[in-house]
Amino acid sequence: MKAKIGFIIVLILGILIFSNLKLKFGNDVGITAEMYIEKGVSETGAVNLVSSILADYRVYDTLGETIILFIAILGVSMILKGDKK
Amino acid sequence: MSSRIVETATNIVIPFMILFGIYIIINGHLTPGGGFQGGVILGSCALLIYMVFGIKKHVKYFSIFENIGALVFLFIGLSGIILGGFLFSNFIAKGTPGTIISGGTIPLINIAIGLKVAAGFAILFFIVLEYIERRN
Repeated sequence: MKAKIGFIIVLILGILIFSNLKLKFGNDVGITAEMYIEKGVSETGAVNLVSSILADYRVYDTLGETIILFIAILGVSMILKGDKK
Repeated sequence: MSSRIVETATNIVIPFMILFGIYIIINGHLTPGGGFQGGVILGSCALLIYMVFGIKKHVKYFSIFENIGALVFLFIGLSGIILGGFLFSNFIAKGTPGTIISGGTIPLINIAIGLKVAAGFAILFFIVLEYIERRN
């Protein structure tokens, strides 16, 4: 049973690796990246491109990040902040 | 648990750390950095003060600051619906790129995120350290 599961996992890993060998990252597929580099400064007005992506183009990501931080604090305080007895 | 050397060094280092964190937050749209990174620096300042001097009177105000940061962030996003047409639209004038007043809503979002992350990380550190102290 374990051997079958291991075989399937290795097979999936091999498919994932060998299907990505044809893709060329950087030049042919990066249409959005080129758009950011060309129009980023003129559309957002911020020189720092990373900041303009984080706080303007992909601001929902930042929103989710703050929600994750809030939930982390909530969980830590619920588990660890027991009342003194 | 701290010695006099650590206390003196902390007294010298803390103002520069706070200044550096505020610089990272405010210049987030010009130089590498941003709200999250500067907020983590400010949060680790609070951790250093607590570990060296044991001051924790101000802990209960940190949750207020975190709420203010989150509410300002959401307010900027929601006012983008009214003024710009969609959620989190960049509705303020862009300004000339490269100056400190540029980027529309990006500096405001950075400041709000920095406030929230600084207070949040300080609360996290305080809770974990109090738990460790209680365990000992």
